[in-house]
Amino acid sequence: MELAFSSEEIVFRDEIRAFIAEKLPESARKNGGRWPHWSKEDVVTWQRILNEKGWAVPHWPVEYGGTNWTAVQRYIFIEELLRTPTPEPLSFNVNMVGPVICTFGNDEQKKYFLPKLRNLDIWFCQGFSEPGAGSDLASLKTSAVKDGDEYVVNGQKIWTSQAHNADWIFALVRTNPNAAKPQMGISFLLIDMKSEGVTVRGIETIDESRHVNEVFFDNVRVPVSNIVGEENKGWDYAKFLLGNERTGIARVGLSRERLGRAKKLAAKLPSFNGPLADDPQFKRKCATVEMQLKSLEITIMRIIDRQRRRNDSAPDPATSMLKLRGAEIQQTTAELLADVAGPMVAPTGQIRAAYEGDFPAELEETLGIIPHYFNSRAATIYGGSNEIQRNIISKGILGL
Amino acid sequence: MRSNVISYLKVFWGFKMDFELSNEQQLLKDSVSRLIADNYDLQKRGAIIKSADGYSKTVWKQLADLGLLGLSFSSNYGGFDGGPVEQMIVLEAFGTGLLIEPYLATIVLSGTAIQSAADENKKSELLSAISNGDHLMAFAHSERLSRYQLSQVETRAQLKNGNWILNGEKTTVLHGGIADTIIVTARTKGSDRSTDGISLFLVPAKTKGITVNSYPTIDGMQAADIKLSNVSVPQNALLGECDKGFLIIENIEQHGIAAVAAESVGAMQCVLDMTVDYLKTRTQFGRPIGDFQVLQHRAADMYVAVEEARSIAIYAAMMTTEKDTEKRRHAMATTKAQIGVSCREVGQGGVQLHGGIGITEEYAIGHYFKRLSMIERQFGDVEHHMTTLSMMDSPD
Amino acid sequence: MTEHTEDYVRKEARTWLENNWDPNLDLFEWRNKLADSGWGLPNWPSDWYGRDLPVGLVPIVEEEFQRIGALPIPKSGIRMLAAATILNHGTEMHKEKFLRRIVTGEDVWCQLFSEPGSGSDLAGATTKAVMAGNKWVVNGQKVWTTSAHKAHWGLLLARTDMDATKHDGLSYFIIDMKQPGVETQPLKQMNGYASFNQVFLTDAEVLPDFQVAELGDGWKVATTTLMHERRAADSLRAWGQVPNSEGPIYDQERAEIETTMAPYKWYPQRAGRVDLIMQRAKETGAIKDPAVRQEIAKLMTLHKSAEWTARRARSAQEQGKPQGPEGSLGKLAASNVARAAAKVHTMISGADSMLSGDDSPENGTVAEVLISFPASSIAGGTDEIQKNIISERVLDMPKETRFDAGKPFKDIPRNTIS
Repeated sequence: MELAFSSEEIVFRDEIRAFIAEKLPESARKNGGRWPHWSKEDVVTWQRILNEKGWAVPHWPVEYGGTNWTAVQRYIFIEELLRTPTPEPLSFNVNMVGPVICTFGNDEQKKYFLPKLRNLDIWFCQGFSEPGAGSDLASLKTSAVKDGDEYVVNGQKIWTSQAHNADWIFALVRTNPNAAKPQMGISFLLIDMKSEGVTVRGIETIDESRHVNEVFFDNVRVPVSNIVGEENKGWDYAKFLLGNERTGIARVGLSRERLGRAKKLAAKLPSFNGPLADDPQFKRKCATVEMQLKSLEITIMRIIDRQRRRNDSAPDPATSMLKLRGAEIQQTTAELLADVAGPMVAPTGQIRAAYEGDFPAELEETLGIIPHYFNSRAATIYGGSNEIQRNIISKGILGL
Repeated sequence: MRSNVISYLKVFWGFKMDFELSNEQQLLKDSVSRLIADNYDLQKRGAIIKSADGYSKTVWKQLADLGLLGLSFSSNYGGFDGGPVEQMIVLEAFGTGLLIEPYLATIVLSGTAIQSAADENKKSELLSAISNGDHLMAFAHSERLSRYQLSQVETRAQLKNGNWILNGEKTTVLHGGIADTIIVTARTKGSDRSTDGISLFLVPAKTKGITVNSYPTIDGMQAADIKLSNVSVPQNALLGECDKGFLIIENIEQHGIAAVAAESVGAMQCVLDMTVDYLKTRTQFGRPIGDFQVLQHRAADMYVAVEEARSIAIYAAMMTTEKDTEKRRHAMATTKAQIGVSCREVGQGGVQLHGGIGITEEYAIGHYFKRLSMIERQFGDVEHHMTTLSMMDSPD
Repeated sequence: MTEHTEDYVRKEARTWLENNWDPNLDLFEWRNKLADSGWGLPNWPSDWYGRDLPVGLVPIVEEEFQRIGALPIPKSGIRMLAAATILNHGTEMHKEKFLRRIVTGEDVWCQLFSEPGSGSDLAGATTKAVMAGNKWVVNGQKVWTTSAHKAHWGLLLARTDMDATKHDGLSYFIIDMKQPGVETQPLKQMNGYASFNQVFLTDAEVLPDFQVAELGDGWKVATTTLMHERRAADSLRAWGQVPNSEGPIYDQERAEIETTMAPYKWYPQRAGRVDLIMQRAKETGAIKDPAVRQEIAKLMTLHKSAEWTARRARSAQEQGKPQGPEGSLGKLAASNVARAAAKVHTMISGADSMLSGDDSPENGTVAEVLISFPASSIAGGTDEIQKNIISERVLDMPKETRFDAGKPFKDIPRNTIS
């Protein structure tokens, strides 16, 4: 067991850094510090640059475009992207639906979708949650009824991130309403968003941006061939998806990037004696977060190491710990940054317009801070709330 | 509307107070609450935010007609001699409705400045003008890099040929864009961080050399960045004694703290009520989510935080009139620290327990969360006041 | 009719004290004077050793006691809970027999509620009382019983009906502790004290007259006792400061604290000893450390909120509002304060805080704080139980799913200990 990066890994990290420094487009670099964040174009362009280099989907099997990196290298890679920050390879494509298709899809699906997922020619979104099925996901009601060689889909999904940008959606649908347990009647279906009967409605969120939506399905006809794996086995695939390669879920790099920004900003602002950056209380807070990030990072390494030595694809309940702590620390760092900015967080983005083209560049720096803070509150809600993660830990690990 | 402040006061340890409202106070509470209930559902509030002025002139007029604007001013200047408890009642109700009218800027901050520093003529002119709703004011103190340091003032004022010439930039001036008169703080001597050498000036908003960039803030209010380029005002624009403005500024902030403390209690109580209601009605796994003990306990923690905030808001109200500067300073720092802690606990807890809908614009909870997040940072955050307290001896 | 204003009460108390206080009196003689005049517990009913004074004015009287150096009635310990319970639910006979001796401190009381198998779930008590002939015969085991070995009387919660539901099968008794069927064994705590006992009840007897309230009302009465206990958690902070004055009566009081009241000696430590913080911080120079100062500020802010919350509760009580679940709020606040205070004590004293004996900070008091404060979030209902009370009774949230609701006690799963 080794807890520090080896010298090869350091060389690897430097290679990633150099690549990012050379290739990250100016627009993505600039928008990384702004709110709202990257445009769709930034995300697509960057993923294609990575794909060209062969780095879009490092964790996929090599035959589908993976890199054969070690788990530690994959961790280093994603953390370097986050701390720069660059846009991330679209998680729906590369971490979610991609691995599901790699593992459970048929050859045709693999051939059609995998290259497009890698190159972001197709942008997927995730259709899991419904108004009545949040934490209790298995109670979902969106139905898919077979009619010849098509499913007819009816129902509603909610909290669908990026649905307004998406070309396709992978959705959990109920194909057997009479199954013995609700989990046993669910299938995993790929739906073209351009199909007739699909409606997307944006949900305005308190962070002044649009990223979540409601998606309505009104008699949407989907070819039966778009089902992944077996009918009524969708719940297993969803569990695989949620447990698969979730070591990136803690987003340590994101928290580090925020912490770095907080320190930089604190150097410019006054406290009682000298700059805030020298304030003992502020330094203590930073040290606390750094300690937490270090513990988290080492825990991730240990879990990666353990998963490397296991060969099954069963979900690992320990990833719940990463989600739990990762989300909490994301919130802590978003909070820390917002605390440093203090009263400077007050203006909304409309302040840009107020200056009529004469907007001082230094104000841009603090504009995204509070939306990030507001948005970070969702980190302990989406993808299984912290309460749910604690349930998983107490049942799956502690056996309570 | 005139309240006999003395009648309800009872003996309570060293303090004179009672936690139950007198009949008149209950009446006051009911009438403000009714006004809010009639005018301030989420939709109406949304429309007011989007309107050109960013506040409702109708509501403002109603507040004036009810006597709420002049409530705490002396009857010598057209006010109603209300005490801190009356002020607390009104602000708590404002918090319930997330009122965005310029009450804090005009009445609390500027009103305190006028009351504590203006001469008789200005008092009778300005206090009655703001009481009847005809005149709006703003308090322009904070600067881009001042954060919470009250003595950090770089804006300069120099006396030239019998006029004060002001130069500098003020940021996030609450309701600065709609004010008729702006109270500007400026350095008349000393270095940028010295408490000595700061003065206050009454500056008509239309004065030449003033540029105002006004924008909405995250909590639905309005603020402005104000640039002063060789703004010239007459010698009598000086508010209070020259160079001795720091204590006035501190006093203004302290009234601000007591006000947002009360306001936050109203807002937090709403968050708690909405959250408990949601826990009882939202079902998952075949039962109301309020069945789950872990959620119950988080709600119980929120309740404790609200009650602590309520206690400390009452304390703050009592202490606004404390004569001993050190005691008052200590009390207000204690207050704002506790309020900050409670705002965070209740705001974040409310959002978490609501799940996804907690961060949408469509549900009320997110709007309360935004206001509470702003209150946390108004007049100093938890750390700021903890540090202030840690540098003082407790007067108890 | 007595006039209830600050000035009037102060004048009245001062006059009485000036005419009656004498440090040369015997302690019990003095307390009897207090009982007769009502000045010892002035908020008690005037029929029963009090003066019907609003609670809010009690501090005025306390100030007058302090001014002249007069010894007040010790307002701590189970006997005060016994008094509150008896005043609320007791018969005239109970009041006649017990209240005066509570005021004078002649009787020691204990509370026989918790059992090895029922801690947080007090209503799961299995100690049984069966009517045999003309008296109740009690069998079972109680635990965490403060002062049991010294007690004359015990407040007993026992099961009288196995066929009734869990809460409805309990009754409340006053039991004579000085009888052969009652055996006590001390429990040694990690802070070195042995304030608690296990009590074994083997065919112990209770006369029918010593039942409190109706048969089956035991849980309701116990709730009254517990609510007073929660509220008292807040007032225990200041207890235990023995007056330094010279005189026989002070010696007697000190002796009492060393003996009968000894089990309560660590209660202030349990509450965190906030009163020592500033003095310790200055003496040690820790006050110069910004991190310490910051923590002190946090503690004091908590303390201030707790204080004002307690004032609101007292005011509500004064307005005649019944003792309500807000006691849980005070108890939670008190354990938060204790936790924060222990943290600050550790920061101030560093490794020295672990010492006891002559060289230790405050003669081992600081060390005692550190090993006693965890009890503040456990004793008298854990923090978790207080939160249950708040969510169910204040916020009106759904009751926890109970496996015991509506079923006879004999048919429900028992709490087990392993």
